[in-house]
Amino acid sequence: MDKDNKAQKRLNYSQMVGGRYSAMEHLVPEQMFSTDDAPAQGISAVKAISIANTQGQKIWTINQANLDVAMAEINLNSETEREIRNSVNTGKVVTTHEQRLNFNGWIGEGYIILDPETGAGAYKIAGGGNGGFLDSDDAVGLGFAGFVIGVIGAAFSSLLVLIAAAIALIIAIDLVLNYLALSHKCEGLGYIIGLAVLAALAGIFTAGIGSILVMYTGLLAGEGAMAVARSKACQ
Amino acid sequence: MSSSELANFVIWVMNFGIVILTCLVIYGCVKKKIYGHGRWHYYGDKSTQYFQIVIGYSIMIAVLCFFRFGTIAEGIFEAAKG
Repeated sequence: MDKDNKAQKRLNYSQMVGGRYSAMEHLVPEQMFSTDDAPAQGISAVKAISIANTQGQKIWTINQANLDVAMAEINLNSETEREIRNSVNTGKVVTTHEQRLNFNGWIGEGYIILDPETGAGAYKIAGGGNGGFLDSDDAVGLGFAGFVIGVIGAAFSSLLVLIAAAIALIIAIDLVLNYLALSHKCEGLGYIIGLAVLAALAGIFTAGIGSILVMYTGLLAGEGAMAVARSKACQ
Repeated sequence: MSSSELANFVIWVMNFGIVILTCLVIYGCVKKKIYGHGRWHYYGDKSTQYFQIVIGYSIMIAVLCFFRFGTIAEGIFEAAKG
C-alpha cells in the first residue's frame, strides 16, 4: 500500500520489485555455483527476454488489442502459447519474445504475465523439448563405430549388422529429439529427419552392405537437415 | 512436416517396428525359420545365422521398447501433443 494511497505508485513499485526478484532467480544460482574456472549460468524470465532481445528477437507486450497479431508471430512451446492466450483473455498483459531460446543447452522461453490493475506478476520460464541425450561428439563416435561394426558384420555376422542397426536407431532418435527442440523457419526438413528414422529401421530388412548404406546414409541426410535448420537462413 | 507430425510419425515407426519385429521373432521361433537380410535362415541348416538374427531382432525390440516406453523420449511425446 502506498502511503498516499496512490494506485499507480503501488503498481510501479510492484513491477519494479517483480523484475528484481525475477533477476534474483538467475543471479543467486550463478553466484552460488560459479567458480573462478567454471562460471555457472542461470536463467530467469527477465534474463530470457534480455537474451532474446540481444539476439535481435522482437519483444512483444501482448494485450487483448494485439493478441491475434502477436500469437501469429510468436513461435513458442504450445503450452506456453496456450497460457499466454488464456492470460490475455482474462485481462492480463504478457511480455515475451518471438522464438524459443537455446541458452547453454537449455531450450525454452521466458514470459511475464502482469495484472495491469494490481501490478501482480508471474515471471515464468518454460522449457519444453530438452534436446537429444547424446553429446554431438558422442553421436559422431557412436555413428562411426556403428558403421564399422555394420561393414564388418555384412561380411561375417548378421548379429553385428543388427547391432549396427540398433546403434543407427539410437542415433536417429537422438536426431529427432534434437530436431524437435530446435526452433526454425524452414519447412520440409522434418520429412528428411522422418526418412532417417525410417531408414534406420528399414535397413534391417535389406541384404548385406546395402543395409548399412541405407541406414547410415539416412542418418547423414538427417544430420544435413539439422545443419540446415541451425543455419542463419532458417533461424 | 510440422514438429507434432514428425513426432507422431516417429511414434508410429516405433510401434510398427516393435510389432513387426516381435511377429518375426515369434514366427521364427515357432516355424524354425526367420527372415533377415533379404533371405530366410533355417534352424536346422545354418543355426548360427538363425540364432544371430533372433538375438539381433530381440536387441532391436529392446531398443525400440526402451525409446517407446522409456522416459528418455519424453520430448517426442511432448511434441506429439502439438
